[in-house]
Amino acid sequence: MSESYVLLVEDNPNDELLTLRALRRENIANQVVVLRDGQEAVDFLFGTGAHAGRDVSVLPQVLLLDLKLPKLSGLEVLERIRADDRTRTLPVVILTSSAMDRDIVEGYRLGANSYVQKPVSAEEFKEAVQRLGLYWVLVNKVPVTS
Amino acid sequence: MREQNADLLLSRAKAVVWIVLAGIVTFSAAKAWFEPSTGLSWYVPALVLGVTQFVMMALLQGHPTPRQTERILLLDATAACAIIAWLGIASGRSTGSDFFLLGVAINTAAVVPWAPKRQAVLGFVAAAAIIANGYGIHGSLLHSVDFRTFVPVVVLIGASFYTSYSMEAARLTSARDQLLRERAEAETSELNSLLERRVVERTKELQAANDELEAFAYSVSHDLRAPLRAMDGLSEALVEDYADALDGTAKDYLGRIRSEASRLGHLVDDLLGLSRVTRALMKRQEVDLSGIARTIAEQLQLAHPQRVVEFAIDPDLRAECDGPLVRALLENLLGNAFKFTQRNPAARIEFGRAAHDGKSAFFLSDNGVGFDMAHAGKIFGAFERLHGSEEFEGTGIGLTTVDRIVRRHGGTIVANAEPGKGATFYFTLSPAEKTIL
Repeated sequence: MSESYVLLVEDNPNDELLTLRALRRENIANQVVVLRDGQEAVDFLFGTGAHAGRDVSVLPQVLLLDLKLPKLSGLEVLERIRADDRTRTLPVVILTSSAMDRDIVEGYRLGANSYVQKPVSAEEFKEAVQRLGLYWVLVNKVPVTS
Repeated sequence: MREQNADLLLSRAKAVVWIVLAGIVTFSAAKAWFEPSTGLSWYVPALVLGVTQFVMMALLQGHPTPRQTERILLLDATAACAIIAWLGIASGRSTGSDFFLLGVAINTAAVVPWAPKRQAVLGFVAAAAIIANGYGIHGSLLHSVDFRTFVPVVVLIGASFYTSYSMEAARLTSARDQLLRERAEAETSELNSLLERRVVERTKELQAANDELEAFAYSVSHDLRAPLRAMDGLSEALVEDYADALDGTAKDYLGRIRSEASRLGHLVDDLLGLSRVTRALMKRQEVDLSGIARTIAEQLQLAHPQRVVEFAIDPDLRAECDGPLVRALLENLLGNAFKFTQRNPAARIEFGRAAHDGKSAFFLSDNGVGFDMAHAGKIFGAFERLHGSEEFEGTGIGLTTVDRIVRRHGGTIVANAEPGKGATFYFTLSPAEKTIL
């Protein structure tokens, strides 16, 4: 695995395809790890369950987190991430279809760094994902992991 | 007035009876003591009756409950019957014991607890006892040796019945009134508690329905968007990635799929907006409408840099209203004005305050395509559109949302338009009498 990568937690295969396609255009698709439910995301980050024994010291540049996920919801995943010292500062971008106020409020309350509603329009969706990729992978700085 | 007169009469009668009673009791007691031969047969009963009447009137004077009143009157009637019997026996006539038995029968009938009929029974007892007494006295009179002796007994019995039953009548009337009042109060409070229970139940049902609607809106927001995004995104990917393999018709078809997906996306957003407007809690506070309108105008300009539109926004528009709701209202109205002026190279949109229909109202006017006032009744209905979707985009929900926001504020909204000249919307954000001037 390369040193710098993006973690995408997304259960909808079409959204995954469109997200990866958009990121590929910006040449960052090869650095994307895709997980399909909330439990897997937690296991991956903390080296538990199916990912037991994984070296968890290298954090992703950014976590793109859907909210409506099987097993553990995005908000539950976020809560666990913020409760653990190893992942407390991990940049988390909520990328979801939901535009409900309570999701936005709850997302920020639990410590999300950004909240992006997936646009329905193909162009807007592509643009949003590409901007996210460019900003969080290329522009944004995260602490060098020890 | 009549009631007062009756009260006065009653109290005077009572006073007379008190005096007469006192006189008779003293007189009878003296006679019974000094002339034991006749005294025992005539004055002792008179004395006994006098004392009973005294006790009864004293008891009635102490404002007994209706139930106690009944008992006192029964005691009185029983005593009267016993005296009559005594007189009958003393006068040597068998009728005395007949009347005694009649009195006992009547009194027994009166004590039987036919609660609802109690008043009627008492009335009957009263009437029967008076008749019985009358006959008793009549019978006694015939056998009287001493007319003088008999007079006090007649006076005593007549007066005692007059007072006790007129008192009873007054007492029973007030008792009946009180009973009716208590019953009415009980019914009212029962109805009230029923009403309260219903309100609680309905509120719960409404809350449940509201929660369900919220969950539904959430699903719509989340689950309806995803497939639309896939339709649009994959069609776009097809056009982009397989441009060489697709001819013009194929691309046109894909374009149509995409535009429909996008239309449905907007519809979902607008419907969600409408449901949010309907359910959102309202919080009135001082809101700077001018500021909100300026921000929206800037956003519209930013999103359509090719358009040249002059915005004339009155700088001091303020109102006591719900900020987020009124922002949604202005977004819809300004968005419409912006949309319908797109063919006018000198587009002008004005937002201010003016008198309309004798009241101060906010107005938002444009010099766009306008519409025929013949269709004005339709514009606030959901999904109603006055323009084809090829002409102007739209879902037909915007003005429904606006109307609902205005109505939630207790205000009104009317449109004034002319085809080709533009449209003006007048609206208020509070009930007429409270309109801020």
